[in-house]
Amino acid sequence: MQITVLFFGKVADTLGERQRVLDFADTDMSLFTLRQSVLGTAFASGALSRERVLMSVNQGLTQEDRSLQAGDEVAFFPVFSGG
Amino acid sequence: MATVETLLLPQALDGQTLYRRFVEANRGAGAIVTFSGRVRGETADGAVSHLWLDWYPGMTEQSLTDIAEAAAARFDVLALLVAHRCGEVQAEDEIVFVAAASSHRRAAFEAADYLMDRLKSEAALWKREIGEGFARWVEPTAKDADDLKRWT
Repeated sequence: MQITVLFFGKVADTLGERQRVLDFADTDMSLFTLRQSVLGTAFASGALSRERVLMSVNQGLTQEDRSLQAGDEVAFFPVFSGG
Repeated sequence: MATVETLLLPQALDGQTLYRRFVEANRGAGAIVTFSGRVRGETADGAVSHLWLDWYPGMTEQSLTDIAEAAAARFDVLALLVAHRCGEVQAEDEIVFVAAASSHRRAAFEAADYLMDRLKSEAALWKREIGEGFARWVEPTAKDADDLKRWT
């Protein structure tokens, strides 16, 4: 299944990209698994802190146990900083 | 129900023009309170030349609307306007403008105050300060969190 992943703020800066389209053979996947595959390295190196990265599915804030469906738009970003 | 308008602006924000339009649209109001927020040219790290406000098209606009609608439900106001910049904002430029119209002053003052406290912590924006020799992503401060608690 295809998932579009967007990055904002420091998360985009750290990864050096703002968007990635991923195709998974597995159709039963949680946001936890996706986050690990996309941000696992940055968490391990300390470039990003797991506690400071929020996530959304189809523009709604959500938690890591959320299951994903084909066509979902997932985003990872830091806590908001306001204006 | 109060009239609520929110604007997310990638280009210049002109509070004066917004103010005149707001007054025109709310001629019956006894009180209008406005707040204009500007980019500080100095921080602890040095002189700031500009900010980059990253945003998530759709989610960011929705966050402004949610905050403004919560204010409209909470205070006895006739109209609210929230305008926020995104993208590159130069030092000393206007970054946010809010206006509140009500029959009497107290509700307008409180609504503007509430809008700003929530915008500072909950607007879906990510701020980067850029100056000579430094650039850093800014996260909400403990002060921002305390300001937000005033309304809980």
